[in-house]
Amino acid sequence: MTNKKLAAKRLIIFLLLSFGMTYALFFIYIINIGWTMDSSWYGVMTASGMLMPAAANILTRIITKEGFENSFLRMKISGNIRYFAIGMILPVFSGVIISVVVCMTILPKGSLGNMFSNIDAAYFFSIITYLFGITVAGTLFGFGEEFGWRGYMTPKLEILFDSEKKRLSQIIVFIIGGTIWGLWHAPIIACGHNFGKDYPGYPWLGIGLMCISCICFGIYLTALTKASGSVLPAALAHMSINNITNSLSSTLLGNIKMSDEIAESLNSGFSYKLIDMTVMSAVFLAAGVLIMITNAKKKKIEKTL
Amino acid sequence: MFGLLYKEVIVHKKQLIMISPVIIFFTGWCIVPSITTPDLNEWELILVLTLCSIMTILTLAMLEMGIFEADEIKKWQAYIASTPDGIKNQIASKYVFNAALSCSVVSLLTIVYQAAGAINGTDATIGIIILMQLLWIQLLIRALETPFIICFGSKQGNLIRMIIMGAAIFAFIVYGLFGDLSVFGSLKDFLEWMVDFLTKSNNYILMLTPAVTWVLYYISYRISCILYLKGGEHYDK
Repeated sequence: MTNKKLAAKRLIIFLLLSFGMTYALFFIYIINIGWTMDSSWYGVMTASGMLMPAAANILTRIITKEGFENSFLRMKISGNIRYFAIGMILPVFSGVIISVVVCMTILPKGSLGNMFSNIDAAYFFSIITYLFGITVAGTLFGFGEEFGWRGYMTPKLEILFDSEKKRLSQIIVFIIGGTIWGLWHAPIIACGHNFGKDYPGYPWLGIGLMCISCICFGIYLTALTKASGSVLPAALAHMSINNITNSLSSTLLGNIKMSDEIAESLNSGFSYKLIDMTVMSAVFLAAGVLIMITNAKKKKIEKTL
Repeated sequence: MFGLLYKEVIVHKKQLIMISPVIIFFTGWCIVPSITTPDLNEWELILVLTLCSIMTILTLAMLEMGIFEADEIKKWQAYIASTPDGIKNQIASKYVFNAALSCSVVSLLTIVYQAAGAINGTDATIGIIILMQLLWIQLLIRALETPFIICFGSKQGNLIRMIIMGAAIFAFIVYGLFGDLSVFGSLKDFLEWMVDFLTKSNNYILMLTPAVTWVLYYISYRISCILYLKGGEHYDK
């Protein structure tokens, strides 16, 4: 069997397992509870679902007798600390940028000044340190996804779409990988995750937007994985995206004195969520491209030496 | 480093297999009352989850306390010291193993607690907050005791730990005899006081605890790296 055929076979098994196990969980949830996030079971389902890609990776390696070589578990901390740091700090910047953009686009004039002048520095610092602390403790969930998507799916896609035009094949891998990852999120998007339910074209538009966001996040997380040679910085970065960005933008926007009407429309409106995802995607896409360029330059220098 | 971590898993395989059923038992134990007693109120659920958290953390502590004993051999120490970044990696693997084990078990428990709350129809958030506080305490204890164990070997290190724990228990007893016990009026009062404290908004102690714990954990690792060679005097050949 050729390398590509073998990679395709393994990838199909991985995707079947990953999608099968996650969708089975959500199928049970949706049958019993419905297409909603308003249930205590929702947290159980999403947290368990995050572990399924890692489980699928392990099961696929066992089923196909592939072994655990090239599993991106290597953990060389020295020299890679910057990638852990980027993973932790970038969502903070992203959260601040989201708040600024929301102030400048949706909220009334003067909101930006209002937001920054009302910041309680001690509280803001405490919130950030708290979010950092719990993010590190909860890395298991980020690892659950990253070990599957970045640790198994992306390398297999790279083999599958390998060609002489390296850049083009890499772009194809990002687009296909991001789309698969976005589709994996489809049930929770249909439940109202990230975009709510009150928008035109629900849920298909949300799923489409999620796929686009996942392509951008995928580029960033793949860049971290490739630069460090391990999925661990990506796992930490994934958890900080989930934990820090939105919590921080909500905290910052909470400083603005606004009428109940505006606050309600901000919380439930689609425009805020759209800005949130757009800014996040743009920031992480830029960061991913930058990391890849820097890494490529570093490798070039190493080669010439 | 990954190799050393893998070694930790292999060396402690038996202990890991032994504690797994205990942890599964306590995990199951926190779900059972929600299933068997449908009218379990929120306070009773918090009490069950708190007991389950304490037992799980104690079980983990039993494994984590013995993590250094396996490597207390002079030959191994000399070998590790001769490899590049060997001491750093050796100590880091122990710290990472401990932290990863605690955080993974706590992360999985949060799913089970949410399920317990969902079955019971009550909010399990307080149970999860208490569990997280126990995790920070666990990591803080490891951060405090590990440099002693590294410096004096497990036997003397454990003795020092016993002394510290004895002092803490003594302080607890003294507080029990002479301190303000009004908050412990009844179990429910105590739980109410605790929940009130844990859910108070702008609680800087709670907000800073995770970061402070991780910083102390890292400082403890750096101190342990410095003390590693000194501990060899207490090791077997």
